[in-house]
Amino acid sequence: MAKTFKQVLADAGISMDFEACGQSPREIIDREIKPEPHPRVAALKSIYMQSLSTANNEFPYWYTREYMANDSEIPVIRRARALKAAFSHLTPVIYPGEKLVMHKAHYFRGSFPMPWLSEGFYVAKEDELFQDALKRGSTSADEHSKFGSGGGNVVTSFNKVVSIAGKFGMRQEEIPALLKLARMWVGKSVDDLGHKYEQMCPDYDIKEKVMRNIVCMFDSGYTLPQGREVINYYYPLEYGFDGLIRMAREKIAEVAGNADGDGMVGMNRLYNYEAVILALQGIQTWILNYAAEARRLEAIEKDAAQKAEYRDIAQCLDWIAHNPPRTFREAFQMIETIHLGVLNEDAISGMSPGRIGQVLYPYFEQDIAAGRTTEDEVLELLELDRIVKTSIDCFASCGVVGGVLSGNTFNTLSVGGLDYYGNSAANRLEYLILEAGMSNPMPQSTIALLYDERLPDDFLMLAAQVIKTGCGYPAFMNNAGGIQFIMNQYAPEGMTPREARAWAIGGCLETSPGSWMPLHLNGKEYFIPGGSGQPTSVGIHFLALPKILELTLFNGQDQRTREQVLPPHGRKLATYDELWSQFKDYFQIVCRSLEKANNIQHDVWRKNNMAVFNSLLKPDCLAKGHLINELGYRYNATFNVESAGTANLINSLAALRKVVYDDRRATLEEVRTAILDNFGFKDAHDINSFSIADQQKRDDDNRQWDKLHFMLLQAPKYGNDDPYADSILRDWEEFFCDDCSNYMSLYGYPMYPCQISVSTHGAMGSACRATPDGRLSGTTFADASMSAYPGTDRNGPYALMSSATVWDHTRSQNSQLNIKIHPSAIRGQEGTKKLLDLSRAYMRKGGFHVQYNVVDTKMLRDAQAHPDQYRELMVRVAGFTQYWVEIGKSVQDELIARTEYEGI
Amino acid sequence: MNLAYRDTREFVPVDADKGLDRLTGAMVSADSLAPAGYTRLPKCKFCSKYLESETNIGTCGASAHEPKFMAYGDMTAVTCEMFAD
Repeated sequence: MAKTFKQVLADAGISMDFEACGQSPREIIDREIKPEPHPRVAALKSIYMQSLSTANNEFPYWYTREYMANDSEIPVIRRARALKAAFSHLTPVIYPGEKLVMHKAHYFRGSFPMPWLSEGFYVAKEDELFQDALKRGSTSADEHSKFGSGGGNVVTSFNKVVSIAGKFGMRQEEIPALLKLARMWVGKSVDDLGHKYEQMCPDYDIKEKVMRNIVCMFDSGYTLPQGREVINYYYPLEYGFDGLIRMAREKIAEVAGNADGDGMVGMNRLYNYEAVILALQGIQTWILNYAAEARRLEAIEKDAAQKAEYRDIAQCLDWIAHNPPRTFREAFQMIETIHLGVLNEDAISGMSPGRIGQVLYPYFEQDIAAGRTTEDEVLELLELDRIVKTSIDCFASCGVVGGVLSGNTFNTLSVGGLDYYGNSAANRLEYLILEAGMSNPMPQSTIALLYDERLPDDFLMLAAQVIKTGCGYPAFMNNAGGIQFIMNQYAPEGMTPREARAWAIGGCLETSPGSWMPLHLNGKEYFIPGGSGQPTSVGIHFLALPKILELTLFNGQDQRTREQVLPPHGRKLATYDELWSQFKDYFQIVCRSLEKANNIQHDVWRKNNMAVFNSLLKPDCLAKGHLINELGYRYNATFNVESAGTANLINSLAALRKVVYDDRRATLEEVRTAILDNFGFKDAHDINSFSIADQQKRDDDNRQWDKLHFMLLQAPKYGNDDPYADSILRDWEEFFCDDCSNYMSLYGYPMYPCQISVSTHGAMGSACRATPDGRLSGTTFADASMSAYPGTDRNGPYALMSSATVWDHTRSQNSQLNIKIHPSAIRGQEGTKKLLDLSRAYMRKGGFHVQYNVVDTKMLRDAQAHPDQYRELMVRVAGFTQYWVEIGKSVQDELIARTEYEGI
Repeated sequence: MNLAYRDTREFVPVDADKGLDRLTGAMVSADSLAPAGYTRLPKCKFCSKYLESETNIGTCGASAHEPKFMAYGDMTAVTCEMFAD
C-alpha cells in the first residue's frame, strides 16, 4: 500500500496531526446535549427523513402555457400573467399533523425546473433523460438501497423515478413534458439570450476560458439570479393582500399616462402596478386553493382533533388570503406563505427570513398577554418551521446545487442585534427560536446571532449551549462590524446609522441592508426590521484564488487542461514583489471579463424575468412604482466579488516568499516542476479522497521532491499568529477590498468583497493542481476565508483568531471562520462559558463571523464509512449546516481533515 | 378496477416514489394498487379534453392556443378549471 501524506510526514519526523491543544479520547465521543422535539414535530420530521428531493412540471407547465399565449404583451405584464397562472394551478397538499402548511410543489421536498432561466441542461441531456425514462419500469432493490447513503438525494434513477442532476427525482411520466417545455425556451431563456450578447464583449474569450477551467465557479444571471438577501414581510402584514391590491389600483389611477418628469421609465409605473396586482392575485388563489383543500380534508376526517386542525388551517388561510393577520399563528402562516411564494417566483438560494423573532414579536407579545397562545405552542410552531425551511429545495444544475450549495438553500434566520432605538433586540421569542433550534435540530433555518455587547449574557449562554448540540448554529456575527459595513456601502443611497441597525444576514453570511417599518397591531406601533436591498452574491463569483496563483506561476496556462487561459505575462517573477504584482494583474483581468458578462446576464434577467412578487415586498417599490429592474429597491449597491481558497493563497505566497525569495533554498522553477509532479503523489481523483491527510505517494516516486515539499509545508502558515504569514493576508485584504470597487454592476454601483466559500472549495480544489503551500493536486481548499488549512494551525484557536484579525473586517461584506472542536473540550457549564468567551474574544478583536463544528472527527470517519447510521448527523460546512449524508465527498474529506481542537 | 395509489385522492405524495395513505397513515409505494373504492384523482389523462399523441404527452383541447398547447397525462388537475370528466 502506498504511503499516505501523514505517513510520509511522520517518517520525516514532521508533526501534522490535524489535532491541536491536546489529544482526543480514543473512543468516539458524542455531543453532550441531545434534546427532543414535540411529538407532532417528530412525526413530520420522520416523513422528511424518508423523503426524496422531487421535481415536477406543474409550475413550469402553467407558466410556459400562459407566457407563450401573451407574446405581444409588455414584458412585465407577460411575466406577471405567467406567474399568476402558475401559482393558481399549484396542487395543494397538506400532510397529517401540519400546522404551518403550503409547500413549493406538491411533494414534501418538492421543486421544479425553470427553463425560462436555463434550458440547456435538459436539451443537452435529452437523449439520456428520455432513454432513462423509457427503460425504467422494473424495481431494483439494489438501486434503491443506494439512496440511504445520500439522504434525500436522488443520485441515480430507480423504479419509475428518473434522477436529474444527481439530486432530484422526477416521475418518468413527466420526462417527455420536461423536454418539450425545455425546447420551447431554446433561444429565449436568460441563459441563451445572455450568452448571445455576452459574446459581444471584447474579453468574452477570456471569460469562457476562466469558466471552463474553473477559475470562476458559476454564472448567477441564469442559475440563481436572486437570493443571498433578506426578505421583507412588512407590507402584507400591515395591509393584507387585499389592501396591497387596493393600493396598487389607487396608484394606477395616479400614474397612468403620467411620466412625472421621468422620460425613461416614468411611464412604466402603470404596467408595474398592474403586474403587482396580477402577481398578488396568483398568490391569493394559491392560498385559497390550500384553504379549499383543508376544508375538503376537514369534511372527510374522522378524528375529531385532526378535523378541528383542518378547520383551523382553512380559517387561517381564508383570512390571510385577504387580510392582515390578527394572531401569532396567522402571522407565522402568512410569512411562511410569502417566503415560499418568493422562492417559487425565481430560482433562489439564500432568501433569508431575516429577524423573524422581531417581525413576529408584536403578535407573540399580544397573544401571550391575552392568553391566546402559550410559549409551548409557539415553541412547537418554531420547531415545525424548521421542517418547512429544511424541506425547501432549489432546482438548479448539479454544479450549482451540488458544487456550490451542497443542497442547502440558506434560509438563514437572524437573532439579536439592536432595535430601532439602539437597545438589545433580543426578545423572549428569540429565546424560543434558539430553543427550537436545539429541540429540533435541522439544517434550516441556520441561525445567525448578531453579536452585540448589549445582548444579555443568558441569551448568549443559551446560544453557546445550542452550538454544543453540534448543529452548527448559531453563528456569531459581529453586529457593530456589520453596521459599519452597511454604512460604508450604502450611505450614498441614503443609509443612516439608525437604519443600518436593521441589517441582517442574507444567505450564508451576506451582510444585507434592511429598514425599520412601522407595524400597527391593535393600536400599538412596533418598528420591525426587514430586508430592503437587492440580491447579493450576484456579481463576480466564485474566484479560485489558488488557481489564479497557478496561472501566475505558469504564464497564464492552466496546468490541468494545458489551456492558455490568460494572456501570457512573460515575466520572470524574479522577486516576490514581481510575483505579487503579476498575481494582482491577473486577478483584475479575470474580474473584468466576468464583470461584463455577468452584467449582461443580469440585464437580460431584469428585462424578461424580473421579480414582481419579491419586488413588491421590498421598500420602496410600491411607493415608487418601480420594481427591482428599475431601481425600485431602497438599496441597490449589492453586487459583489466572491473569493475562495484564501488560506491556500496566503500560505502559498508565504511559502514562496520564504523558500524561494528570502531564504533562496529552492528556485521558482524547482517549485513549478514539483507542482507539476504533484510532489510525487497521486492525484486526489485517483484515490477518490480529497483530504490532504489521505493522499498517497505514487509507486514510481523516487522521493526527489520530499525535501522541497517539507520545506514548503514548514514555511510560515496563516493561523498561528505569525506576522510573516499574517502580513501577507493583510496585503491581500487591502488589495482585495480596494480593488472590488473598480468593478461596477449593471445598476451602476461599485462592487465590494464577499469572502465565503460555500462549498466551492471542494469543486475548485478538485480542479486545481498542487499549490506552493504543499497542498496536493485535486484536494479541497481550506473552507471559508479565515479558516486555517487543515493541520496547519498549531497554536490554538486564540492564535488563529489573532491571525484572522490583522485586517479590518468592516471593509468586506463578510469574512468567515469555522473551527472544529472536540465535544469533550467544552463539557459542562464551564465548557459552555469557555465557548462563549472564545466567541466573544473574536468579536472584540473585530472578527466578523465564527462558528463551530462540535464533533469528534472519528465520528465523521465512521459516518463516512456507515452513512446509514448517521442520517441525522449535521455538520457546519462553510456558512451553513447540512446533513452529513447529503454533502459531496470532497467536502466531507475536508471536514474530516480540519484541525480538531481538543481544548480551548 | 383498482387505481394506482398515485392516481387517488387518498394518496398524499411524499416524493416521486411513495406517499401516505391518508386513511391508514401507512407509507405506500406510489405505484402500488390502492384498495377498492378509493377516489380517482383528477389528472389530465382522465380529462375528456386531453388528447394523447405519444406516450405520456399530448395536447389540451381546452387551451386557447392554436395549435393547441401541449399537455401531459400525468399532471394533476385538481386546480384546473377546465377539467372535464
